[in-house]
Amino acid sequence: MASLFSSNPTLASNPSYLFSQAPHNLAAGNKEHGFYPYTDNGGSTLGITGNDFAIIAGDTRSTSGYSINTRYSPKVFRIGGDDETGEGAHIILSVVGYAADGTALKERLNAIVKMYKYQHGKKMTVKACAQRLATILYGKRFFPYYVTAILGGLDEDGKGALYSYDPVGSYEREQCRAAGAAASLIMPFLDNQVNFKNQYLPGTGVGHDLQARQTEPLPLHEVEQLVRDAFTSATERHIEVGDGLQMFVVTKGGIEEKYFPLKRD
Amino acid sequence: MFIARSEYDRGINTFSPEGRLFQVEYSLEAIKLGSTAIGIATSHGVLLGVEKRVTSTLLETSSVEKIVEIDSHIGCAMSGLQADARSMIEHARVESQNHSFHYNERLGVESCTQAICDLALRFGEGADGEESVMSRPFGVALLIAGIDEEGPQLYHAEPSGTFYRYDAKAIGSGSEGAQAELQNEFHKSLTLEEAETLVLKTLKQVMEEKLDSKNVQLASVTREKGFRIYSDEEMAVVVERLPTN
Repeated sequence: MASLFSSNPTLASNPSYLFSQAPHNLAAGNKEHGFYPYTDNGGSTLGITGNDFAIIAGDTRSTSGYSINTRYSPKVFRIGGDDETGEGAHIILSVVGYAADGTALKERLNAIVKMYKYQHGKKMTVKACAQRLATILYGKRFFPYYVTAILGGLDEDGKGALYSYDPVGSYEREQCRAAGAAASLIMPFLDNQVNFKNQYLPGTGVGHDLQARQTEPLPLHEVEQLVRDAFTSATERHIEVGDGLQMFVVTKGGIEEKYFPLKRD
Repeated sequence: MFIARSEYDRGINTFSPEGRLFQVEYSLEAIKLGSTAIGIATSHGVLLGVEKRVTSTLLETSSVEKIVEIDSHIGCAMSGLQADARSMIEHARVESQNHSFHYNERLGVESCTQAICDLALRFGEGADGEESVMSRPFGVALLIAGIDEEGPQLYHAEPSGTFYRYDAKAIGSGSEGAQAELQNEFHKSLTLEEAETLVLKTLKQVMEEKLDSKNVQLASVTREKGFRIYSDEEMAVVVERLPTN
């Protein structure tokens, strides 16, 4: 995400952020003013689906440059619940990037999913919610929500469903996706461990004849361990990731929330 | 009585002392002047049928449009002031397209009916005196036929903004006789083909003109083909099948 802010001179030269820049004098005697409405609050999120479940996890650290704002600021939310606790929800959303936009986006989608239930007398499917989230994001095409979103739940057949987005609403259904500060660290790990990329069956040939290991749906406990490993490693290598790992597991029994501490250094 | 009543006929949103909205009640009367329309919901799909009043031999019958498509899975038959139906149907079409744009799924039949009925009471002036789109209630009733995950459904929407779901419903000038006939003949295990015959048979009883393949129109909504208006050839086949008496 840091590269997205490279055109911002304040952030480029100073790791801690400012919304406005003190007017500075240009050579010709003109004053230049600046307003930078976005901040990068760091952190990372991750989603993986299995046959009958979907997991979305995120660390709970919120940063501004080298400072930690708080060690507990959730990035993963229940959507369409009956109350503030999210009880009765069947969809989960993670947002990473600019935390204020993330919160605003979550609140908005939550309200829409609830209204849908009142208006149409049925729960919104994850597919419908995915399309709606895309239109919300694209609706702010020229002043985007500065977030990378991941939406999860179970589809109409009870299979795990995961949708990943860019900040302006381009989306795709996937098996797994990492987003945020440590996405570039976690995603290759998932490619290898979830989709078995670069894994070959020993003794099946030489060179191009080597057979690739076929993907198979992973069981819940294995995926849970993958998520925890991904975040402990990301915490080691990325300064904006750490403090705590929050995990939401959607199964037909409902949504379960889990929390594991991460290193706080 | 007439003088007392007319006082409350003027204000379109004004209750009479007996608690009635006369303009809304009159709009229901307008429908009774319209041509008869019938809808039947079977487990295989919904069937709509209307009588076309061919007032002149010079009239091009295909230009009488009383059954229209709202979306590929919802259709609608009307009775009353045709022109009023246009804005309702336009609204329903926009609502349906909007829904699939936003949610990547088809609009439910009940939601579509609700959307149409939301328009019904937007007449007269608003509470803050703002200009309203309509000066009077709609003068048209609709039979809304569609299919969604709940299965085939038939709704009747009135100018009063209320709607009900029916197994079989008749509206328009011949509705009383037709509804009684439907009451007798309807059963849950009707096939679509039996429904075709029942609709035409019922229309035949209440129509002033002699029924032929030109002065009636049928349409169906099925899971396989969605909404479809019967072609002239298909109409001829169904009319041919009717028992002659």
